[in-house]
Amino acid sequence: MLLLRFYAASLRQDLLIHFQYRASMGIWLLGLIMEPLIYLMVWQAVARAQGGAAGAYTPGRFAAYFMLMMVVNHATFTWVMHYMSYRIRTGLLAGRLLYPLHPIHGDASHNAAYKVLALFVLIPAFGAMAAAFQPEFHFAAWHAPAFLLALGLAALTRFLLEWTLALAGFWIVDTGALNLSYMTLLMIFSGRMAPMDLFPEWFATAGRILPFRWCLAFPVEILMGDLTPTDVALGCLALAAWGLAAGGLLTVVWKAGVRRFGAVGS
Amino acid sequence: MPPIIQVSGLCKEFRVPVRESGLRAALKSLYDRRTRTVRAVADVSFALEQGETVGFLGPNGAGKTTTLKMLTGLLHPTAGAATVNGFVPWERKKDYLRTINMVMGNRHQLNWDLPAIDSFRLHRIIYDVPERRFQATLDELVALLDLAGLLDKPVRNLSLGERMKCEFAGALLHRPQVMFLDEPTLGLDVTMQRRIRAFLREYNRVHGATVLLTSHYMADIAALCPRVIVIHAGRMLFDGTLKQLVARYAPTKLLTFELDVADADLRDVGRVVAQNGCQYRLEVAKDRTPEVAAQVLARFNVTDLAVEDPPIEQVIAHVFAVS
Repeated sequence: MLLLRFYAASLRQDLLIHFQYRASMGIWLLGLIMEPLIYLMVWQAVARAQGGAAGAYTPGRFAAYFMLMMVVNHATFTWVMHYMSYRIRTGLLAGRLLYPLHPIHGDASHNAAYKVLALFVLIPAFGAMAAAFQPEFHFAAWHAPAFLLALGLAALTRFLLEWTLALAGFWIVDTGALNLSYMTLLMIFSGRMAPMDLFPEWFATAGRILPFRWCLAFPVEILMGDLTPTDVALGCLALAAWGLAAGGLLTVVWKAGVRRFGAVGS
Repeated sequence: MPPIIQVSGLCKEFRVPVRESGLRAALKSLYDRRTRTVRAVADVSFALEQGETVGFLGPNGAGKTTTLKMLTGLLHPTAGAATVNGFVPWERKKDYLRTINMVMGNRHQLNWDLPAIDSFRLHRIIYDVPERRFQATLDELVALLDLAGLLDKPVRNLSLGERMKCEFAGALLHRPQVMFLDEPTLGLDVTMQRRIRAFLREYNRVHGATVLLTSHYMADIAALCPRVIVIHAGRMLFDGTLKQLVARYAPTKLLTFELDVADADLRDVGRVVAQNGCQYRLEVAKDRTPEVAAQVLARFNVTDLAVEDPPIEQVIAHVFAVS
């Protein structure tokens, strides 16, 4: 109950903060839209050059895939790993540790508030892309709630994973290289550059083992109408398992990190 | 009633990397990483009763802030034990964190982008303070700290003094029973320092909060702390009243007197540290004070004479110098 009241109040406050950084937010959102837009145009050109399709993807299917990828990436991305090491290094974390509330809740609220505000840009962008690229969606009614469930699990799993990764700042002064390595793996194995079934089989197998595909390509594939109910159930189970593993790891790493924390600079 | 803060044999060691300057040393550190252990706090023990305000003194690097950080649960000690309000601080239980707070002069907890009142409202929820009590405490703090007109301004637009007042208010909204203040008047002008001191005295009187305070401003200590704990190089040197500290450590006394002449030769009596017309101030060794006073009275026509302790800053500096 206390947590619910905290999230309600904190979301309101975080919305006010994001409102103050409108220009910065606009630039970030431009990047979020440009990436799938570029991949969409490149892959549509490839499909047309190959006689109308690349694998099972027509230009309209590519449009649907990358527009959905834009939505899923927006709903699941976090940026905590880029400032956690600064917080730790400068002792700013100390202020948060004094509260009788885990600092993860403040970050979750900040992240969620940004996502809500960004919808005012994302929805028109989605509409404009739909008008310009004629996406082909073939999903049944049951796919919609399945998509929402998978999206929720994916957002939670990615948030927990990336918050845990951010805790590397307790041990490493500059986590930039580690973050870049993670982002590279995410980029390659999540389906952000191309649908996973366009890659070789060994690559798709690796994708099924790692969490990235489940966090991004999987919800997209649900709304593309490509998956059976069994595929969706197994995918949600995989996400839940990754979420639980990330949560467990976070608990252990957080305890060890706080014990190691020097609170230097505070 | 057991002490509200009980510290016994508290130690904190840090391992810090050792590297010489130069490219060769940098390359060597890739395969031969050396560290050394720095003992920031060594065997510190003390107890505070509920409602006490105690000054925690020491030069930079003495271990004051490290001790405070252990008592607020920010750092785990290497050895020793402590309880605050019945809790082990570094277990970081939520019930414990609800009963304490720490104000650091060089750090802020209020959200920089929003008016202080927005942060206060979030604090209310984080600390689960009922609305009525929150409003009553806020009204009291606004009056005590003269915050009217500040609460609606974004924190980044406040002056340092205004921000510190708001930080105090934010830190006290849940009425902590124990407060750790680390250089709370750092960088503030004299007027603001006085205001903060008056506020702390009043808050302590009304709420009976226990306060452990570090400050390099002796005026803070003299105004607020009947008792002081002195720490140097991580070790405790003294625990007692300011008066006892001066009695034990002040090596000199100040003899202030007024003569009927402005050109008295006092070179063989003692060191003149100040002269204003016919008024002289001599610094003399403590054990020679009666003898020097008698000499002055015998040799000169004295109209007024007072024997005083040296300023507390001087005593503290002497303590650190001899230890």
